[in-house]
Amino acid sequence: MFLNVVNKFSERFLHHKSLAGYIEPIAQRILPAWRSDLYRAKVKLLSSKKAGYLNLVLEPQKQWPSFVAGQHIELTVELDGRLLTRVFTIASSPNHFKRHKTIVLLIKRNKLGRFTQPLLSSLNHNCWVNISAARGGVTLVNDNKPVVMVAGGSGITPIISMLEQHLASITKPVYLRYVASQGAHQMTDLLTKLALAYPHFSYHIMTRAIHLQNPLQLSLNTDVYSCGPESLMASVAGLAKEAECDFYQEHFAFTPIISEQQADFEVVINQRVHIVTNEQNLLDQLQQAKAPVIRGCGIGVCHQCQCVKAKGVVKNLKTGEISDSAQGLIQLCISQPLTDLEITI
Amino acid sequence: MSPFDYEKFGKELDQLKQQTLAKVGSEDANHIRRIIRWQRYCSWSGRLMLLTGLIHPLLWVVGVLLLGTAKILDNMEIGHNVMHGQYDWMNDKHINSRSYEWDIACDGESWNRIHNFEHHTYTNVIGKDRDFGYGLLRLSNDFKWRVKNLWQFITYINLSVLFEWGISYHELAAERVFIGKKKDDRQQRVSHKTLKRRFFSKGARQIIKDYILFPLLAGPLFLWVLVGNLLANVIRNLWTSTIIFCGHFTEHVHTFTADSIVDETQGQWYYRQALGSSNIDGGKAFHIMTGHLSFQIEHHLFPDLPSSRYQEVAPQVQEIFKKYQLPYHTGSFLTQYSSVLRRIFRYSLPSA
Repeated sequence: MFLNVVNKFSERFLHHKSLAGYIEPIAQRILPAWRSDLYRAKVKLLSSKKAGYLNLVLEPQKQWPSFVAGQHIELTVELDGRLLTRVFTIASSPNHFKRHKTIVLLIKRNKLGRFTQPLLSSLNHNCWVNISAARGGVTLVNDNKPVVMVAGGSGITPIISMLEQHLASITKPVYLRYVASQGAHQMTDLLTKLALAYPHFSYHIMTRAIHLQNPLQLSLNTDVYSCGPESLMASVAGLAKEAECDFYQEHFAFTPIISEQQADFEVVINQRVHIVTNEQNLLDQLQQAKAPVIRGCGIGVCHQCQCVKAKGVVKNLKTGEISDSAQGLIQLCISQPLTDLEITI
Repeated sequence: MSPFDYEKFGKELDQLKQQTLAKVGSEDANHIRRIIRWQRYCSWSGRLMLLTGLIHPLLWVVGVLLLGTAKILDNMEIGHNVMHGQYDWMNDKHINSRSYEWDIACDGESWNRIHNFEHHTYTNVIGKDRDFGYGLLRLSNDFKWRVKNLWQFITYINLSVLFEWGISYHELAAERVFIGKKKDDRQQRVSHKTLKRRFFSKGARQIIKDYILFPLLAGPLFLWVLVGNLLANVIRNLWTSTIIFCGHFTEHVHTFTADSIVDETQGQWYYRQALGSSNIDGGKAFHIMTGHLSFQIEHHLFPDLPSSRYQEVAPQVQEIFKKYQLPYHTGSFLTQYSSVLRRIFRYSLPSA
């Protein structure tokens, strides 16, 4: 109630939706990276791992609510003045958090990634970043059935969290197939440790080629979990359906393939789909399609047509810069679509 | 004499902008956050010092000046520049052109339409850029002389004192919401109902805050606070109006016709911006207090470049202008302001 009154006052007379937002730059002098709508977390360890992965250990502030094994968080880091946010599944268990007050993120570095590439040089021990509350994700249904898990690449993260959390309470067999490029399998030491500690848990690590040569054998009344590239999950889902197993999956966003050859794309604006070509700027096409866009100068000066790109890649026609596929601001009049897009206006 | 090479001129300025944008980063983010902090310190220390008038009136004067400074920082270096999208790249939801609202009677959304779009797209194009004279002053022979122009210096003083209300009413006047016949070629972007609602709502909030709520909270010091707030607003109005006039209405600033911008190229657009603005020389603190509009030329060439970079690009812009034999209008505050006054007086009379 009191907070509502304060925020109403702030909105009406200080022109900020919340008082916390109004005082944010001052609060940050005392509490680095303090933000009105996010939790703070201290970097306890950041190290390189094989195959271009990073191991990031964070100590969230006390007020951060815990999580359920398999859930993800949004990690926000200020990199060269820019607040960049990416989603990562927590690769450690709630029990681990209870004991050590830390969570582990396993981050795959993308060669062209604006977020993952500069992380190692930008984050120091004990510096602060922001995280959201944990949300979504696939979580383990403990229904006393045998469990088969298939992880692909960085899709191992929720699986690790679930295994670490639940193996002690499961009595039925749990089998994990972990598919990744040769030498790119992560956290194998932990998997070995778990297999030794829990005889009902077994796992195989293999490459994609070997996985394709040896299709999974699923039996009835098995719970099947999968996390990884879409194609891998689709094939596992098919097998699970054939064997009449319950199937659970976690979707990961992978970098889309970009081509500048003539192509049509779908643009979702406020849940409505529009078809656009990559041969014209977005503003002209969306205006023709009577989408709720605002036209301004049309030359990238006035920012009237600016909106939030939630997903997809665009090219800035003025600078030639190609965006990444994550959330960001774009000016429609100087943006050429390079993939399917989701836009919020 | 060879014709002006707009394309090459435009490319050189584009290149300068891209080179500078590539350097934009934490230094610029720190700059705007530092200014926001200073704005908060000035604002609250100023408001508190207005309560100390009974101890010594000089403390009250300091309070007025601090509050005036806070309002100037809020409107100029923070509000104006953030609303231009200069700091949108930070992805900070509180420092973003789509959400920022400022401590002034003018509604932020209205400002975005009338200033960021109309003024910056059609700079000094007669009939399209209503900022040229604000529909009140005759500042070139493009406008027919009327008897009321004889006393336009007094109109100018009134506009300056009430500047926040002038720009608040600017879009409503352009849309002829209350009086006048709507111009045939004007495209309505927002309904009159919305314009009126937002005009009255923002104006009322400003009046309630500065002239009712804070004075009431001061209890027996009601009048000290009310007058202090009034003076702080007037100081801000006079300062912002003066800086804006110096950036746009010095004697050498050119005007353009609507026909001249048909199928205008990027190079021609830059050329028009170059001739449509003028700078003011000064030190770092002065530039911050002007919201870096003392670099009005650079601002008009690159409206969405962070203001913290204008000082850096100015010598390079000057160099490019020199190469293309374009005038780069700059001078001390006194030189530029006296030039503005001369222009106002000059066009007060017919056939100037």
